[in-house]
Amino acid sequence: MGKELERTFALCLEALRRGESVESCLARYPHMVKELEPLLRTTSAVKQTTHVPMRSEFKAAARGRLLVSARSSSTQSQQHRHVIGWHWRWVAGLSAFLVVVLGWGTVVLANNSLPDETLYPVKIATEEVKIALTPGKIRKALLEADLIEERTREINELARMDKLTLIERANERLDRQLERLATIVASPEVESSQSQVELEVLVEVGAAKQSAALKKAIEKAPESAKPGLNRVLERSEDKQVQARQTIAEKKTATVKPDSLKPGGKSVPIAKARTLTPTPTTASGQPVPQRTPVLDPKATQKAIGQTILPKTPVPSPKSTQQPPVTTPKPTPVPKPRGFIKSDDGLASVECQPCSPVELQRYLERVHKQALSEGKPFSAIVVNAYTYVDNKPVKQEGKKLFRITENKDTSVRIEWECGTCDARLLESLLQRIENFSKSVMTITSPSKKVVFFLTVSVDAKKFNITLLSDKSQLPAKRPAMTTDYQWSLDNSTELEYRTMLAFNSAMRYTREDFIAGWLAIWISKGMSDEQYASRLTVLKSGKAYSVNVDSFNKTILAVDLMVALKAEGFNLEKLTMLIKMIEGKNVSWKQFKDTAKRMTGKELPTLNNIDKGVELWIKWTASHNQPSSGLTQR
Amino acid sequence: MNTGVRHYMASQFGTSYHFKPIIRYTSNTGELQMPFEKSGHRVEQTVPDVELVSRAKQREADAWAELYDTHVERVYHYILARVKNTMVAEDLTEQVFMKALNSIGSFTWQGDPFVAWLFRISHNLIVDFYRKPSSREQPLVDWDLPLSDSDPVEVAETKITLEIVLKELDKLSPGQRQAVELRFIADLSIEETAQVMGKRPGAVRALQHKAIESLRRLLAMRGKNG
Repeated sequence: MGKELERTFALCLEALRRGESVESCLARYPHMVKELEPLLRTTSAVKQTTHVPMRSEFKAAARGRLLVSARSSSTQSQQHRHVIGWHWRWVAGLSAFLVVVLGWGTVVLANNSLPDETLYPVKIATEEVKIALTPGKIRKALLEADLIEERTREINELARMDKLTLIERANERLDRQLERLATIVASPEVESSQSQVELEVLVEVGAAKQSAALKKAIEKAPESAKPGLNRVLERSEDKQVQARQTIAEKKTATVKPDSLKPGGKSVPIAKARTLTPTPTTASGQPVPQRTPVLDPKATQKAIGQTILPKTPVPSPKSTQQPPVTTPKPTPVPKPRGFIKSDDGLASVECQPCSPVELQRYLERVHKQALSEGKPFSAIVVNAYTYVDNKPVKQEGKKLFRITENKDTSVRIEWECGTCDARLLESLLQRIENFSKSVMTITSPSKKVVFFLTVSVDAKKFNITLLSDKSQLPAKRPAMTTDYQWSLDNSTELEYRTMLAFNSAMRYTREDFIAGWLAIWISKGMSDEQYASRLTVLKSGKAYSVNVDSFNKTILAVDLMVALKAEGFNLEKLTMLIKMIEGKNVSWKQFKDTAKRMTGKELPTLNNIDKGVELWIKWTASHNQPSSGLTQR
Repeated sequence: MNTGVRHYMASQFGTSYHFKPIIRYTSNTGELQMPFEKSGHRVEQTVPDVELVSRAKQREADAWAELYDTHVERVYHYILARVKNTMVAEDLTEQVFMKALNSIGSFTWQGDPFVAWLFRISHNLIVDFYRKPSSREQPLVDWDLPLSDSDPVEVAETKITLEIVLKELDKLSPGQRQAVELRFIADLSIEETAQVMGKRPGAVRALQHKAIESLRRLLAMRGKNG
């Protein structure tokens, strides 16, 4: 029987692999149903539970990286023969020096050193040798990306060890590496390869990681060190913009001349970035490509036009077009940064501008307005379309439009960025579930309200800035819930909210989990239980709280959708925690028991606001939210 | 292998884990070698498979795209079940393919299908991962799974069930556990599993039966006690 069962079980498994059902297989062996059925059911359960979906973003990104490596290694062998040149002499010399004088062990040991350690210069020299020895631009770019990652690791490590003064040193090097990576990506060899798109993503990823590492360091730093680190961050963000521009300029040079606006004049970055009053309103000189402001009709018409390609993944073939050299195209004006005018109108101009970049600009405007105590009434965002991976200036197809509503609010309609259209499209797909929702973030002064509407049908975001909360339109678009975050004066919370705004849709998981925790506190969770959860939360291990990538955004949005749909059911959450803690009861069992004991269905907590309010109230009662636990 | 590592591995893979590597490294360079423990069973290779791998050896991106698309999910599921941490699983999955790309030159058709070779790389990387001291800093369980549009309670329950299944899986003997992981989590065929494990297909059939029977009993006991 044992052998027969073993054989029959194996046959049934093969049948299941071919798509047969458990029932049909059991029907074939009626005399063995009793023994066979539990085995097949267990197998199905194992398969069903363990075949969890992969994150599609990771899957695509890893695929891209693999293909880049495959392509580069296929071309490498050909390039390899031609790279023996003059620079190999000093490379060989330096390698020999490193190995002979310092010893191989030293070089290996240096790999984990930090900027204040003796072996750090060896590490840097080794890296330089590696880069020099790496043949082929694509391989070099991949190596640079790895080294950028190493620098961010150093920054994280230095922040962890409170060696804040050294962060700047590591970061300066990171800046240079990002610049070098951008230069490689913009080089003709890469441009003519099929890997350009993937390599551009590496620049974006490197930039995002740098910002995230620095922001994390700022978050941890004492108040006295924050301004310095903030300056470091701002400098790096400028460098990131320059790196992107290096790539964009190269692309601009290859755009067909007829798609460019003739007569455009290039604006130097430094000039465009200065915080001088916008010349549009003051002197009447139009800023190039400025969006027609306060023209609802024109805007409505333009909104109807979609700029997002239906299949946003740029065709690799599009990058294979040979650069057009004659006639030399006039470069598209590239005003970047933001200009704030005297009349409370902040103007942001972006080209090409990723959503993350735009958010940074908006954050700066917000900071500026808050620091000057002069809340502004509108932000004008001008941008250029970026179609098929090339910046193309097209009248009436700008990314951002602004309209003035009758209720005095000004609405910016973000038709969506395109610098990384694939990511954006991916986000939009997820946001479909998130329609008709509104997030409102109120600043401490209660004077500036950001009002983010996500609307599905038009596939666009609307960000409305109002000078006062009272100006919220009486008739808002159909929506189900408002998420409102009122702040106390805590810097940490202020920063977190800024971060939340900065990321627009990117509410971090931490934000949501904070809401959960608040609910748990309100329901009498013991201090120990609470403390253990918060420790896990703050350690950033169990929950990825970094907003260092767009993927996290997507996760956060997913989570939000899930929680919204769930209505923040306290009992379910508590129950789930209990189960995780090892009680091992199913939700149904728990619910049935609760119903039997109380005689009624479990109540639900439908409003996140309550949880968040409780959280804020609780943290406000402790002057330092981050260390409040020990005082409790 | 030092005592500390042995102890840690035992805690990860069960006390009866006997550190019998399925594949060995030829040297410190990490070049992969065919298993020393040959099953003697040859799997028929289809012409497209052979062609695909030979194109992959030429570093043709299309071939790698096809191999990646075909195997990435099963590799990911296999690793995730072992490391129980989404981020680590993603990282290792990517490493598997990168390593495969770099070592494809050493791959030869000796009766082993490509997928078996790929899973040996996966196995080795998992073992390497647990050897690193940094692996101890990882949370034991971190399901940062992408939430779908389905009912959040269902999603949460799925995660919990997953944890329960994997916890019980840890109680099986290493051989049984690996059979379940390869056959049902990674969805390999009997023959492919046999190749990865270095066993005969008949032995794998017996192993999978015993494993599922034990697992069923453990889960049933858990249900009663819980």
